Amino acid sequence: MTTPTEDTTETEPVLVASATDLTGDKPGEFLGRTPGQIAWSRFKRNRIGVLCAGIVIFYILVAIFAPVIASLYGKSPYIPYGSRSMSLLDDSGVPIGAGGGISSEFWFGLTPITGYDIFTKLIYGIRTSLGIALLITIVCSVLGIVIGVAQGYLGGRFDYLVGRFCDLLLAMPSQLFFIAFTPVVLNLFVPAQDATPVYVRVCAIVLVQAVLGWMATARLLRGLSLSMREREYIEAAKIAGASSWRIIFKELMPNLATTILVQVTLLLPLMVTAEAGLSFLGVGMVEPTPDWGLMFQDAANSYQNDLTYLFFPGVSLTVFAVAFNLFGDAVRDALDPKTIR
Amino acid sequence: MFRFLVRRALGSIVILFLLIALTYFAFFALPADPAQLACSKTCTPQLLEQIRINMHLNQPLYVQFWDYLSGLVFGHNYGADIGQCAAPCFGYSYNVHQFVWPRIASNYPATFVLAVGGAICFLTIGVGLGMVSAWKQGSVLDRIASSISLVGQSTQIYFLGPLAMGLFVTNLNWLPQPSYIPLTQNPWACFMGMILPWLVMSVIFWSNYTRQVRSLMLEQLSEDHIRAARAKGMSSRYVWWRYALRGAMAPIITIFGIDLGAVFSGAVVTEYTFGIHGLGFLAVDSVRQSDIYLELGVLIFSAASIILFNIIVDAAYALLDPRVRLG
Repeated sequence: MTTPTEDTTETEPVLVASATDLTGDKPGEFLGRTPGQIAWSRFKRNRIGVLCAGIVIFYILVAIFAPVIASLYGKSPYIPYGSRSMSLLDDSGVPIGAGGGISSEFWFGLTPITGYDIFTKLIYGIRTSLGIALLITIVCSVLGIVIGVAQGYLGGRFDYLVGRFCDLLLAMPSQLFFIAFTPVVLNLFVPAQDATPVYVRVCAIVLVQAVLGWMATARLLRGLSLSMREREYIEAAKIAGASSWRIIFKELMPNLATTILVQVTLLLPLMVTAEAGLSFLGVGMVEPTPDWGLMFQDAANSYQNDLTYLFFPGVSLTVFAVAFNLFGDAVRDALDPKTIR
Repeated sequence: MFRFLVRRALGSIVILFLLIALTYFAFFALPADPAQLACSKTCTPQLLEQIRINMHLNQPLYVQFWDYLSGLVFGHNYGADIGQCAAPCFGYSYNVHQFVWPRIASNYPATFVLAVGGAICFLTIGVGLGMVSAWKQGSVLDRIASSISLVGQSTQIYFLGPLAMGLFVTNLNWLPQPSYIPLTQNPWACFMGMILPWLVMSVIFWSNYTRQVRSLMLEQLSEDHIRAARAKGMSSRYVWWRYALRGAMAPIITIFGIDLGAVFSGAVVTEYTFGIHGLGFLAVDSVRQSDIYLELGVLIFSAASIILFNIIVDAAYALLDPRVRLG
């Protein structure tokens, strides 16, 4: 152990003598680049990553501006056009026209039997699915970070007990747990026979998913902070008289930031599909809230007549998941080039 | 080996007990009125009152929990109008007037067949594709395999399932409507009815194996002992199968064990999509019918099967690697 003569904990503005580096425009000059800048330049060179980032941003923009798009397009996801106008659906409830009633008026066609507009349902569905997934991801990450770092930093009996509790939750059949537990949590907020407001449903879904969602992040961060606790800069901070609070937030957290960011980008698409899965099984969101899982459920009931209805949410979700996974890989490569894939 | 197994088995009994306790208290302590959750949608006040009495809601929670536990081990007497519930007593479904255990037992074969077939599919396809990728590293074949596994990883059963059914069942008429026909009744019909669910379910699993096997094989092939084996004149095929593959298998067994636990505990979405009446279907049904004992029973049963598979995987590991069982 060495006794540091000066505070070496400042890691933020790492000075890189990049005279021979890629930029190379100012030779010989001492150029400062933050780790963020280095990662960004690395990310920019990954073409697939940039393309996927574009797709992800497109989805997010569509989700944010769904009402604007819908009003420009002139339809609402809550109006059953098919039952208002007799000329749109035939007697058995199948949309009239090719490809599930695709026309200049209804770009992606109509849902069978109910006759909702698929295009607006789809863009509003992104809002629901992405919003809930984002909430779950935030809750899971915060829980995972707090518990994991506390475990790693405090160690001892607390670490052991929480670790065993983690093991216990990991032995739980997660999908079944989500399904079985959602009504119990709903019952907690609202009496069984009453109608459940939408925000309560969202809360219940977030809560149930968060209970079993934090362990992976916590484990990862526990291991990392355990190894960092022994580093010199932490010891230096301790000797300098920093409080645990300061050490955790000012010394540990900046070094864990990349791992956390990567973990979040990997978690979000998982949560989008998990939320859609719950709604598909009939224990997530319910009609008339526009939701991708509900669209799948609806489409799966009518696949014999019409595959186009299934096609729109299916392709949207697959493209989103592929783009987000590749984007996550690109982020990881940019932030941490040492990881071997 | 024996001592290792005994130690693991004792440890899992403790875990199982804690899991039962955790789920039980979550189900019965959190809601204001658990009886409401055991009563189906068509609930009458008389039935609700009867359920309250049967649940012993007037007694403290730990007594209720003890009743449940002793019911699991010794059975439970529900009185004159319901009768004696035999040994693994998971409770009573008030909506269909049946005990929970026979319902789980009658649905389990479907889950079992689905899990075995699906596991065979995803293991062979996943490991096969991964080995092809490693063998022709960097070639077109490798890229195709990698892209397929990426898309496979990102796709969802509730999209792929109806799509495959629409294509192969409704439009092309190649396969019958997927359903579970007991293996003992008609093996061929069972196979034809399950082939689509097996393949669709395997898609979300095998992409992981493909990537893992590819990187593990490449890692193994660059090891010194492989080069030594080649240098002393062993054929490349022998080295490939007996040295590299064997070395790459250990992490694969771990993932396979976790996945096996997942599929044997009920592949909910697959069963629901294809209408296969297995454990996962029962779980969804129990929630829709509001049947808390069935929910609890399915959860505990699945947790037990996951734990059992963990032991089996550990045993397999211990057989392969003596360091594990001695450590």
